[in-house]
Amino acid sequence: MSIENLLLPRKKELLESWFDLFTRAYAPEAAAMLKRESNRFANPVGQTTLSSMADILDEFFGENRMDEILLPLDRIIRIRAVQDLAPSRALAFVFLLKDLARRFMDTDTTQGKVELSDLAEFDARVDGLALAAMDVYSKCRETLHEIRINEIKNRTNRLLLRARVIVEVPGCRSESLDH
Amino acid sequence: MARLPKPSELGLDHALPKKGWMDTSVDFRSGTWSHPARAKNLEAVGFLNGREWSPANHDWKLPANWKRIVFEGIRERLEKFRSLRIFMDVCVRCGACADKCHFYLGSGDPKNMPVLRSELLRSIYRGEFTLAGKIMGRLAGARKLTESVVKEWFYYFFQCTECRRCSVFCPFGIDTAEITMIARELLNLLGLNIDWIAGSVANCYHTGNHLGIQPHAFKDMIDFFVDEIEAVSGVRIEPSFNRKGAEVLFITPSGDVFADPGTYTMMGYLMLFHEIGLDYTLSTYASEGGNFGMFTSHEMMKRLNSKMYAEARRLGVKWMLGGECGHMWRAVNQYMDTMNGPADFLEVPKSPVTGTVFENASSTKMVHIVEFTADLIKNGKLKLHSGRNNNLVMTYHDSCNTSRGMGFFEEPRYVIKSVCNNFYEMPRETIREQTFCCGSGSGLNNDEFIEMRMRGGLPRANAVRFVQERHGVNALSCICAIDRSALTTLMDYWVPGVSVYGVHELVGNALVMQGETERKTDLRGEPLPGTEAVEDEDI
Repeated sequence: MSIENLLLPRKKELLESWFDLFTRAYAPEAAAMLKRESNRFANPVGQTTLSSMADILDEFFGENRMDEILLPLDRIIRIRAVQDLAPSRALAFVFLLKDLARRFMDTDTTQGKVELSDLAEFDARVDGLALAAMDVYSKCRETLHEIRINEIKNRTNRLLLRARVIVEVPGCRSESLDH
Repeated sequence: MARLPKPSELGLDHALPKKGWMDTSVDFRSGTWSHPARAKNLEAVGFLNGREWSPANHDWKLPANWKRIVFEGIRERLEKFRSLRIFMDVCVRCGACADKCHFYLGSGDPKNMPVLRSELLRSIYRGEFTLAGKIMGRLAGARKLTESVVKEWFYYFFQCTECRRCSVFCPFGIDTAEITMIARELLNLLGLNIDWIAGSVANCYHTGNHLGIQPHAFKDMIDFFVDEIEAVSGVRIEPSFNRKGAEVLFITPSGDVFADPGTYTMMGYLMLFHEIGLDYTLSTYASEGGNFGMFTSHEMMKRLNSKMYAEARRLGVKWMLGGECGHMWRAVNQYMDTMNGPADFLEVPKSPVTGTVFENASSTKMVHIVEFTADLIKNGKLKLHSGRNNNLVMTYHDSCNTSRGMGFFEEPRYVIKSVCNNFYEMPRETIREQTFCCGSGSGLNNDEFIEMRMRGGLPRANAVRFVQERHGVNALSCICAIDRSALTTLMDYWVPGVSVYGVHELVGNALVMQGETERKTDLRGEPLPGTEAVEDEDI
């Protein structure tokens, strides 16, 4: 029996545990706030993470479609990518699913319901999720550098044009650079 | 050699500091602080202890008597500002402000809680200035001033944008922004400022604006806009510079003159003034409405602000009109009158078009452009074709300084709704007096600080994303120059697909000008929507 099917009935519980582990990476005061405040605008990190984790699990236990999983993954990782965390720490939450799954299936494994091959298959899916997370993280960091460059360009481009440090093709209106 | 950690270890260990918060010193990792002020920029305005240094180094090259400087600085300010003494004494650490700070919400760093950030200074006040603190020490929440404390101040007081959201929730009305302002003043006494602020102050003091743009370049940029406006509308306008005897002196942040997308807002002002025939002039000396002096000391804020009245007097204008800016309006609305006023030589502002007397500005003699425009629209003096902005599904960001510093809520909304047909508010707890900061205010909008800015801007961006998903919002308007720059970056990171507009850019687009040719593009050169269904919408 696939591990996904075994875990499916306990998805809500799994989500709560996953989110709980996630919040423990923050200072105790912050972790308490992340869990307590249910208003999504008063608690953007907590609520965005919780709802995105729910979306990830829905898809993960369902069809596991790349496109559907990238969006919620992005929501979480976009935050982690600017929280002064090393990439390893920023993405560790994905791998926690392996530990959690084993904790949740403790009884099942002892009863022989789960084969080694099932575990390997589950782990491979988590690994796939982790690899996708790496893609998202890299993209977020690239975006961060791009917007930093664009901001500098937006601030000075018109001055450079006027100082004729930049000369555009005659007849074209000057335009701001991409942003 | 350390072994490789397992994911569970990476994910779980928050690594709680082994000591309490009072003894936990800051780790200055690159990207978590803004570049320090360069010596030349401090010396340019007479600030002390200018030197080359880096927060990353152990030795910050503080003056030998640094402790005495700080003590005397605190003592002087406690005597000068009764509010500071109250703010130091009255906090009961109830925590109402704790989760209201955008930096705390985005980072989870407890020292970004306003209560704890203030406590960084308050603990020294208790330890060094109160009897209870001196006797009871830690039991009374007191500690002694050390070099490590000063470093902590530098780190955290330059992670506060002085937005005042926390103060809205404080049952005692403690203005945490003012605590940050005082803390920055104390740091400034030691030559501890950031260069984004110190450089802007030095430039503003010497050339009249933050970027150090000289008068000919300032005029050149405005001439450039005149060409662009003509290309869009076919109307040639003729702004004047330093013209004596004009009725109105118009002052706006230099970001509107040099930085996109603020430049389009500047074009909107110029088009409006032309259309109503306003007798105004621009000053190449008072060429900056912003006041980064506010982020160094009250005295420096006063010195930079003084050029507004000085120039108004020199040019002999009757009153002043101010552009879309954030902290400029906090300085004008809250401080200018007592710092450099009363401006008895000016007249109480009266709109030459509608006859409306702006009694609220009877003392400062300076009117907010949005208020001025709202009055024009209300009196039916503008011909507006709001359909030209039909490609925009708009929301509005209340800038911290105009909302919490001025109580300025309705006028911008009235103007926006008059020139845009699609408008949706963000959720109630994220607008008006509860608005979330852009995360880049109070001189923190430098590029090396980008990660912290994105963290701090998350709550604002989160609310924009909500209206993007629910209503298809693709445009965010604001009335602050730092917002126009910072929110553009913020949207590009958190909510791609949302562009940022100044309110008067929207006005410029919608304004039907006498003698204009058929417009094919908006001020950004983008094709106008629905040009096939043009119809006048007189308001």
